[in-house]
Amino acid sequence: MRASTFYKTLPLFLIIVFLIPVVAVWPQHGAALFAHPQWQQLKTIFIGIFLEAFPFILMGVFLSSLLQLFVKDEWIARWCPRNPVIGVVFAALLGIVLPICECGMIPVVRRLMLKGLPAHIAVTFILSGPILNPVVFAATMMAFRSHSEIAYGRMGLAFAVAALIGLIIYRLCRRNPLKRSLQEFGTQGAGTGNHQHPKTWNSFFTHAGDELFEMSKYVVLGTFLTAVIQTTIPRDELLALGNGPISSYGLMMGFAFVLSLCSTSDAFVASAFSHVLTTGPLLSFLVLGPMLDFKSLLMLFATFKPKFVIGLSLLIIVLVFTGSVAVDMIL
Amino acid sequence: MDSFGLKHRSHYFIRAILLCCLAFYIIGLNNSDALHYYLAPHMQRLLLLCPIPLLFIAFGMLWHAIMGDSAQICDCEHPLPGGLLKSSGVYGMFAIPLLFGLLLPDQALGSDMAAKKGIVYSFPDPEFEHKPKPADTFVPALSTLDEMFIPRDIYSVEFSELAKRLYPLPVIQVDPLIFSETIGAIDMYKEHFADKKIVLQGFVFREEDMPPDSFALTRFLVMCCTADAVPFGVLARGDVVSDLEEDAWIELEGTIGVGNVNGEERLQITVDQIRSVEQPASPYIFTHPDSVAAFDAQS
Repeated sequence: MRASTFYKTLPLFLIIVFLIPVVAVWPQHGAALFAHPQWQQLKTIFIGIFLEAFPFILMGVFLSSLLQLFVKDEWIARWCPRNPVIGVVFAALLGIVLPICECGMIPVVRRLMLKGLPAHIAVTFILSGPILNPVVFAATMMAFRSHSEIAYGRMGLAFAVAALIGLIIYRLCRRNPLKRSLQEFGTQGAGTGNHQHPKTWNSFFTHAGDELFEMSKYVVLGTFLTAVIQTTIPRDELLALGNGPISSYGLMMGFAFVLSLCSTSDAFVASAFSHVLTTGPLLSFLVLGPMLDFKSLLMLFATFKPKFVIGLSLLIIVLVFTGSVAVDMIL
Repeated sequence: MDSFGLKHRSHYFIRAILLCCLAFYIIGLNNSDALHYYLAPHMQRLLLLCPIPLLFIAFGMLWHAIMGDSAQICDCEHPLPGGLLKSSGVYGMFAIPLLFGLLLPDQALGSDMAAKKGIVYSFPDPEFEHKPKPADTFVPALSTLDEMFIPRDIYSVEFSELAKRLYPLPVIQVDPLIFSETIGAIDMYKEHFADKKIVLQGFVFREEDMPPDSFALTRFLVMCCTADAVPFGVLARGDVVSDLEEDAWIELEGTIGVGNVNGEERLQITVDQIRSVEQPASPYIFTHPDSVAAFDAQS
């Protein structure tokens, strides 16, 4: 778009932006206009998830900004294990010392990948980090007080799935799976080297803000869809879809995908199902949810090539399904 | 100032304003005591760390828009949105939560949502009943509290300790601060708590297949945010309850007993008295990290 066209449309934006404070000082009338119970519930759930995720996203973009300014690319190359198996195991266990949830993780990992972190390590960390950490273990233990095997099964299955996917990516994925636009900007910055950004506080905050905007459009979309599904489809109707032995796995995995819960709180929600379901479907819910849901899928699309994301999602679904069926048989 | 710079400056200007709005929205929610409609206390504390860094970012962007020289203004790494459609998409996306937040009143979830989420009648572990109970072997003639309330594993020590403290009370006043733990403890040892008096507050919720003389006194239990809110109900039964309206907030005084929901034994309160009350300032209940300490602090 030419710059002159942009100026003509600029006032339009400003009206939208200034509308917000206007509405803020006019709450009572505005409230009456939209006070339909369905909208109301949608708002309560939507704002709830958004506000819950926001501190973690902010933390993620700040961390990413710090990495951008202060961590040299060579450090990553030197510090990364060469052996793929050691690398994948190391990445899968990294969550124990770095308990960040998926919202905060993707900006950080994306930055590390631009600085040369190999894809198999990055993806393993994205998948295992939100599950394999002490906070989530304690929460799962609390929710399934007398069924500690579910907490152990969750940790074990998450480790197995994440490590296996990491190894598969190492074998099969030779090209950089990052989105092309991101790659170009990465090489542009590192390659020519004629364009260094000053390391000032101002550029630190501006950088964090740019990344915040880039991430939040995906988070808002994912959060909104989640809230729409939660407020329109009753849980019983969802449950009725899956009362067979196999379909209950599909149901719980689908449920985990659309709910987009935080990995620290989903165990409690899962425990509400424990009187109708066996260990297997519960595990598939607990392991799939933090690895793949609306919110994180959209954030993945912001980072990786679409083909890679689709392949990764299918791989997660298949592995979590087979894994939880296997655990169900053993236990 | 060339036109390229101006375009970028205006982008940063819009971003700065949006971030300011978000920061003030969070501060406003906190000032009007509305954050608890959306988040559990520990998440509220995390969120309240956000406005200051947000304002810093907004200030940085504003500085960038006004004072930044053209060398600093570039779109490497973070391409600015291209056309009109894309820009309005990105900024519109960011504005959606703000618009929702400001256009609709802050309101707690009610019985309509309880029906959609599916009500839960006992604390996390419904399969507890099927486990062998060591306490069962010598139920009669129990003298001391320690013998009555034996924890069944290390994860129920908290509940058994709480039960020991609740048992001697003439009337159990359920404190909203430890609502789910109190009900959980009573539910775990319901055989001992039978015929005790209890007073608790919640809203009225009826499941579709419930008989007219019963309802569930319900609170939403929130772990992190409203997405994981679980409607946590206590079964109540009595002659006077049929004319109670759904969503009405009441204080219920009754006697603890055991009822039946879908073939499973559940805690059930026989209604002695019902008073209608205002919706409490904090309608949801949250899990407490140490309910026993909270109980001791209250009494």
